[in-house]
Amino acid sequence: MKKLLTTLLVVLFAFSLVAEEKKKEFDIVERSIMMPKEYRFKEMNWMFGFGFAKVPFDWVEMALQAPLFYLHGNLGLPYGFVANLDVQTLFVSNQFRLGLKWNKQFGRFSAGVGYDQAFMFGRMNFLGFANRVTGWTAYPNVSAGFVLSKNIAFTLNAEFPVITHMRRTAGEIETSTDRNAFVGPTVSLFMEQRLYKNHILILGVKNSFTKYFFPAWMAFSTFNRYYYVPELFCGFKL
Amino acid sequence: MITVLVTACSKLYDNYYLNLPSHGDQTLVEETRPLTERSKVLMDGIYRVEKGNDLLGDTVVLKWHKEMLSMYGKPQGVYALMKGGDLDSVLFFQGYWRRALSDETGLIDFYIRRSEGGAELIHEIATPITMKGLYGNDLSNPSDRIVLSLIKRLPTQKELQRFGVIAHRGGGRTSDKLPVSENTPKMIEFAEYLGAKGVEIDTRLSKDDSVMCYHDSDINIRLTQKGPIMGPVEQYTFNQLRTLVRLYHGEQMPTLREMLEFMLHKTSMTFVWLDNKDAKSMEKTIPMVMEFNKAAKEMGRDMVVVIGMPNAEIMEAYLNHPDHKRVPALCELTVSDVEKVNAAIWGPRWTMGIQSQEVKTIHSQGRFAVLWTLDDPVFMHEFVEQGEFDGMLTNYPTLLSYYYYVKMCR
Repeated sequence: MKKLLTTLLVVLFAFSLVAEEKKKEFDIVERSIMMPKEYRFKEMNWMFGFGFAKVPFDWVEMALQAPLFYLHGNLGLPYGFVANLDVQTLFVSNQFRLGLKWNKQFGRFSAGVGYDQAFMFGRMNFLGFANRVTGWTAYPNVSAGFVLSKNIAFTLNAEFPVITHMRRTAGEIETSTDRNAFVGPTVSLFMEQRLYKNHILILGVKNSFTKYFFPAWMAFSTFNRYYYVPELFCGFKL
Repeated sequence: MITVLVTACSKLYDNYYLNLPSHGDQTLVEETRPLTERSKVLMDGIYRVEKGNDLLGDTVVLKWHKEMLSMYGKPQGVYALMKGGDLDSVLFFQGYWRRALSDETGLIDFYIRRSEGGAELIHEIATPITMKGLYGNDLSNPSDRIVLSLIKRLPTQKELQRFGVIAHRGGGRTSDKLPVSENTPKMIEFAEYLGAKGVEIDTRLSKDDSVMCYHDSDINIRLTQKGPIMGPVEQYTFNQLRTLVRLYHGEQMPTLREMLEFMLHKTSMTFVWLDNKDAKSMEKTIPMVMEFNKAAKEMGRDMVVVIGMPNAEIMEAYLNHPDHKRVPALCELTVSDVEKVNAAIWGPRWTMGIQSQEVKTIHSQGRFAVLWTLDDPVFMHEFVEQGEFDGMLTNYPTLLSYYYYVKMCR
């Protein structure tokens, strides 16, 4: 019994030392994926998440919240550049984005400027639909980060999407447009917080003031005016 | 804090009022003498836009509806509504223009000199016509020039291939920022100026089984002014709905009977598509449709009311009614459902494409095909050019009218 208790105490003491060491090692800047931080060359990180957007009633004539699934990854490049890949899917609506950012850190603050090129495609062949859509969108963007503590960081991001090409079909009818159409800005705020060990929880709110929201392409909205489309985001970096 | 921000921002974009410009006390329309019906027919036509292309595109259609001179164009569904007539040395018209797909609007004035067709028009003689005018943006005075010249007069009603420009919700949605609320007699009156020959209207049952015209399942601030009641329409009696609900622009919620009375006696609408939201309403709706179709026939009015079938439940309720064979039906389901119901009209969704084979089958059976609800300008043009439909339901009857008349005048 004495031997068991002694062993237990030694194990507990050793564990606490390791945990203390892990707690000291955690740095939100090091682990962050949303902040416009400076990456080491070939440094890579990724995260997955989901968002819920509230599609305007005028477009769909019913209360509709669309869940979007996200996958996002960053790859560090030289001279402060970072490449990013972004996948969003609603199954009937999908978007792939490839982009390049340049980031700079200033102590607790950081800033970045970037450009993403996106390809979107959607297909819906049920419930009275026989439609497909493909399109290209440019996403110039800027972002700013702020480290609140070792465990929490905030990122503010703004992007200005321009649809450059879109092709749509309805049965055998196909139409396409080649027109640089600025559809309205999106301003997002993300909070990254240590969840446990080195895992991070990401919570965010995206605010789009937009004429077009690609996940709702099948609404074929014709309103040429700006609508507010909010989206709540939850992600994990493991 | 985020919730407050989200709610506040969303409110900014729920405003369906559009401040339409007016000439106010500077109008000269009241000084004009009305044109004869023959003179108006001679003005109806396709016009080339010589100046003012930024606003109107390359061609426009001019069409008189009662006292309103309507102009339909292509860019963003631009249209103009004007009044006027003979003003001594010129024919003079004033009104406003608007883009149907956006909120842009402004004042517009036109005149036709005696020497440029005005004199002949007064004397009901067909002649080349040149219309000159000015337009402005928002509330500013017109200052940008427009010049139109007549290319071709519109064919007569008999010469025109029968095609139904059918306006959704009586003429358009409240969210289209029209000056009247959807599903009201005022909207139907307005729809005639927008080029509609028929309308689709939505019906719901009140708690005491009155058939009301209203689209949404509940009383909400999207379609009504803030009031003491909210929630499902079926929870409230006719008296409660009439007393306690005001539609977005202040109108009372009409009954189906009031709408049909108005259409029969006060409009020249030829087609009414009833979109029943409640299967139970068939008990009241079918006898009413029989009554009004009979009245139209006795009056010599070219108007037919059809019962819409958007789903299987409504279709079954129609088939179970003992008098269903005495009222024409419009079935939105499959071609075999159309045959099962023996519907006069098949109403497919436009997203299924032009469905040439199915439309041929329908036509071979002596039925009609009318698709819904097509608003996209690019697809609308393709469907008018390539499709064989007998009509289309749209929230933009001005744009559909433009494409239809341009095609007919080729």
